[in-house]
Amino acid sequence: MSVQATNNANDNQYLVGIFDDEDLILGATKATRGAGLPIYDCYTPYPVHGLDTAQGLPRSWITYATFGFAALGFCTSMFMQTYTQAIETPFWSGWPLIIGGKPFWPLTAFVPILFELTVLFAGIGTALTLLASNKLYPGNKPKFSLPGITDDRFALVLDPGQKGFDEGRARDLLSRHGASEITWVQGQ
Amino acid sequence: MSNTHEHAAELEHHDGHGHDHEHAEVSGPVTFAVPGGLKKGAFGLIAVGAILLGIGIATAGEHSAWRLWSNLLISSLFYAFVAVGAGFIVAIMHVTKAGWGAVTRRVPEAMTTYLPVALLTMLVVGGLGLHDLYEWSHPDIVAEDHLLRHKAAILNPTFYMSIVVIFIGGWWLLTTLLRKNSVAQDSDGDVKHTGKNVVTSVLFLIFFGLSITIGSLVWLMSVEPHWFSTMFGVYQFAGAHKAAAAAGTLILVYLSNNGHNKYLKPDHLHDWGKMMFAFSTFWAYIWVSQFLLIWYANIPEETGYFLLRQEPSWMALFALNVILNWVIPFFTLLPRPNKRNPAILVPVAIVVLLGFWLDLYLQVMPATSHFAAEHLKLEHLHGPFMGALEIGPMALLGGVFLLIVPAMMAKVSLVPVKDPYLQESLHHQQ
Repeated sequence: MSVQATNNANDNQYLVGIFDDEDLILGATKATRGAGLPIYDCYTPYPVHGLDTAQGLPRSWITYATFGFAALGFCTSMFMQTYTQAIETPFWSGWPLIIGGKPFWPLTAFVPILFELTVLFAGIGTALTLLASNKLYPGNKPKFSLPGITDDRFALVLDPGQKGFDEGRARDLLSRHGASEITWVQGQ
Repeated sequence: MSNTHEHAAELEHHDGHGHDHEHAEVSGPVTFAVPGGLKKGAFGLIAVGAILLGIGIATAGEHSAWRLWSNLLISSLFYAFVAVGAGFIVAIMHVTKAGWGAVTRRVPEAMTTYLPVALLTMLVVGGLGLHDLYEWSHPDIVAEDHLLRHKAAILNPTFYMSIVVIFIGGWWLLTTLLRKNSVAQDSDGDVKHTGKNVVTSVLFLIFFGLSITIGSLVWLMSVEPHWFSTMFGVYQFAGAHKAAAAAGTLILVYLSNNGHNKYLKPDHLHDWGKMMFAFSTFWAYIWVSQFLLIWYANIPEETGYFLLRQEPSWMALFALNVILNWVIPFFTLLPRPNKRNPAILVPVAIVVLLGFWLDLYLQVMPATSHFAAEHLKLEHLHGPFMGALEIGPMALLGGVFLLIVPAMMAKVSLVPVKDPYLQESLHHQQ
């Protein structure tokens, strides 16, 4: 058994359980993790609530990226408004204008732009970070070809290269938890 | 190796197959008996409030009726808005068919049962306090004031009292219907109650939108009858909603921490925390929108409101208002774990409630003290005013609130046991 596992690991093969229902993959994932079998990842057509905790994934770091982009947007907005409105030195100047008799550095008037750029940077930055961190960019080859997982099927992928993998137990467990199909899939 | 296997087998047995914890059932009504300590606390708060109010009246000296009535108005509206804000949350849950909140809904439902007291206190304020609060209630002033003569169609005692009765009475009636229907479902389990509640909620929301706007204009904005802001109604609504979310969160944490409602999960608190977070931010958005346009346009008839509140005596509180109502809740509730942590939710909710009180205080006190000084020809009336008269009415009505709401929660099951959304709510995950 262990010989085959090693071979498969070398061939970059992964054991995949396909499920037809989100409840089934949720139960199977919990059981797989409980049994100490190594999970590579889960692939589902839509976010399944509780699957991240079932997989034992740590808290996503994307929110920190969001906060960072938000802070960057805030600073960019503050800098651009201050520079164009209020900086005048012999060497480097913006273009201060009198608008409605307000001061050249009217913080109150900056608020909407500060807000908008903060939100814009945070939104776009988060989306791009998310795509990049999932390796979803032009030219990237997909890791697996798993038919139906963007449609109506749910895939639980086990990693034979990791400690604790045992094909017999994995197959037994997956089928007991309602896998409609259990196959080896070639990873890229 | 064999050890690992045994361990694994055990885990599988526990966690696998039927995954039975996924199908939590509520076996019967979740009863709640008001703990003696809570009841004593409520009575104690009423007693302390009454004593403070008495001390305040006795020591305030002459020419301070305006201060008494201002505080009665502030405290009446504070609890009225918290109660009707809870009604708004219930209605929104029904209209949006929100599954997540079913297990928490009895709390805002119970909070709305305070509304008859709000009706009573506003009737007292409207019946006895108008002359000390509102410039427009003095016919001699109105006769000489062109603008007030034009506004007299709305700013008059009859209209004031009518909308107290119609608006707060209407909130009471509609929220009572919502609660009654929901409780009736506990016994017969009929789905038609859910449909009925959607219809009632829609009616309530339309009525609430109109009434809180007009009510705010007449009860609050008219303390400065020459000033106007088209943002005023939605500003009060934002305050009411976030305060109701904060008060509801406090009650839910109490129920969950003391084991009264074991079906409450961090996920439910998370959503209430989100509501508090979102509507604090919405309040700040409205606050800025009101301030920014008036500041930008710089029209004398509009800027008076902010000039008065930016005088040195009020400036510190004016800044504190934004800190309590937005800065603190925004930055403390921004990280996800904090919204799920009662130890953080409780202090933030208290800060938000304090902020809501300060918000009302800052709308009323600068204006009424200014009017009193002018009208009574007093030399010196500089705020801020803080003392027994400020705390007394808030404690008194707070005690009444704490007496009524738990008692009404104890009358029915803490969980709507036959609500069609209950299963979804029990399995709610964030």
